[in-house]
Amino acid sequence: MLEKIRKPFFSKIIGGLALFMVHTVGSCAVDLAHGAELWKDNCSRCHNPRPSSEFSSENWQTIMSHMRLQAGLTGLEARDVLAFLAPEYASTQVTAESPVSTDKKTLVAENSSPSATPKTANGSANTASKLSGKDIYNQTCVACHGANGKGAIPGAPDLTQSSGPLSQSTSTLISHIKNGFQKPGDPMAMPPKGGNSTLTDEDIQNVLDYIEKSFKH
Amino acid sequence: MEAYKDHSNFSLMVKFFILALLPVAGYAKTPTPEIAQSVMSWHGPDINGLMTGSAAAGYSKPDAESGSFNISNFNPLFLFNYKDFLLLQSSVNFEIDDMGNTSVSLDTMNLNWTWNDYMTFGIGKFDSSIGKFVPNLGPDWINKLPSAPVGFDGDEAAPQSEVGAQIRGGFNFPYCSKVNYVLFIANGHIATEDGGLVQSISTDGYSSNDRETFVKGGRIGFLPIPSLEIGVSAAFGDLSLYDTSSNLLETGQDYETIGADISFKWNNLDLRGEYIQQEAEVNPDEIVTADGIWRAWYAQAAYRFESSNWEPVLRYSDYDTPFDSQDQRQWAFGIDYWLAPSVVIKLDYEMNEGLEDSSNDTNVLSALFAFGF
Repeated sequence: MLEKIRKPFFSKIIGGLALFMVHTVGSCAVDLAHGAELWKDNCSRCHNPRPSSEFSSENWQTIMSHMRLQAGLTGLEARDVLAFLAPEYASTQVTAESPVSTDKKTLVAENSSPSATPKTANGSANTASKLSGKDIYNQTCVACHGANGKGAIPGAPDLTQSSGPLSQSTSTLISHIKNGFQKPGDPMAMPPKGGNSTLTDEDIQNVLDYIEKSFKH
Repeated sequence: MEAYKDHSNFSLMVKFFILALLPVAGYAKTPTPEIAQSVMSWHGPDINGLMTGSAAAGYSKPDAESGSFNISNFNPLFLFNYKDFLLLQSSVNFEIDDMGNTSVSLDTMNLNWTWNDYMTFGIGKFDSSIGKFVPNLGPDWINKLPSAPVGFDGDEAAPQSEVGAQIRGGFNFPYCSKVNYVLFIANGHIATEDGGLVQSISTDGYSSNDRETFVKGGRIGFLPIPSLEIGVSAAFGDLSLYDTSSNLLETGQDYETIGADISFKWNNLDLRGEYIQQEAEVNPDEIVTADGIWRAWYAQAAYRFESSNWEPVLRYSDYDTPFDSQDQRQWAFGIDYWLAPSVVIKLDYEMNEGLEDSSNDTNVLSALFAFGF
């Protein structure tokens, strides 16, 4: 039976891929929030997600080339995850305003548009200080901490516990968000600014206000 | 029939490379300023690389036998980019055998040329794309137990590597969050004959290819939701049949391998299972008289306790072959303690059932310290 399906099986697959290649058009904007989601979903399918602090930005570039093949990611997905893991990379990438073929990757070098910033979850340029704490949480924090604050990946703490992280002082929490934090003995580290280097002090205050209001009991 | 096969091989290879050239043709046009800028988006030097990989050391004790520190593996993975379009991957395995000698093997070495967001062309020696365990779950810090499921190690049911060319990538589909794929063509596999029976089928790719006995295959993974992946894989080709003295007896007997895998992640619960089989489909002649099928499957559940470093693991695996001496069934009960996302101490007890009084019938206690770097 396998002999009978052999030839049509491969012909259909190859034909489908060829059609797909010809017609595919998409966006090429780097999306930090999408990168965080992809990092959580794709890494944890095989192993524990590894925090950005484990490698330098340059090394993450090479590792993402490898993981793109291992996990079957698209180029855009790989760039989104890289933007999340390597803030240095993200801070020097900009979005293309108009949709173009994704293989053109119109990511412009830093010196050609220094004011540009990565795309956010709602598709606009990341003028982060104009976003609400809820928006920032849903872009940057939700991948690890979960929509309910109870943690979405192994090692992420339960923010709703009365004796949990939110029992600490505001200044301590601001410092942890700003500089990153790893609880002694905990295998998972939180990256500085949750991996979103574009967050301003005002953003951090806003997102902390939202977190405390939503999850602190 | 032979003529048809030759034509089929040729036709497939032509399609493979025409398809491969389509996106390249797009790149070959005079670069627009935007495309030229995209090259500039690469950060750091043009050539960037690192050594990553895994290492593990451990102890095992079969029932009624003395225990020993007999697990020491070092698997560096070398990764080098040329900007963002070329990736060299090579993994090497250093292992200490029972006599204390070190063996070294080149597990993989492939050059991968990224053509566009959806397709990368690779050539060289690469992990077999049949199933999920071999290409993705084998490294000691990823596998949640100290050993592979029975039937999934080298020289068993699961193909380990291929030497050839492949295209791979992924794309998003309406009504299905994601599809990923691998298609490959590689040198054919080798089987060994003794007494008119197929004794074994090679699981590692060879750098020789008798009379163009190519194997063609691939894997497609469907992800209806991000936490669920369902994969199907298959490969077909011709076998080269050797005797036990490594003399080529014949080519042209059919080879096929099929696999199916599923993984599901729900909060801290990790469920996965996989079936794989490798078969010599024999047209009986004066050399061999019967098919040889090696098949294996496993099901595994792991649960990471909330806000804890502990993760218990339960796995059942079954390996079925034409020979009773190779057959094995295993229950494995393990507990992992995670010191970091890629640093783990694993302890397990494997209850084995095989040919009576053989090593396949002996229970084993194992401990392993693994580091993914």
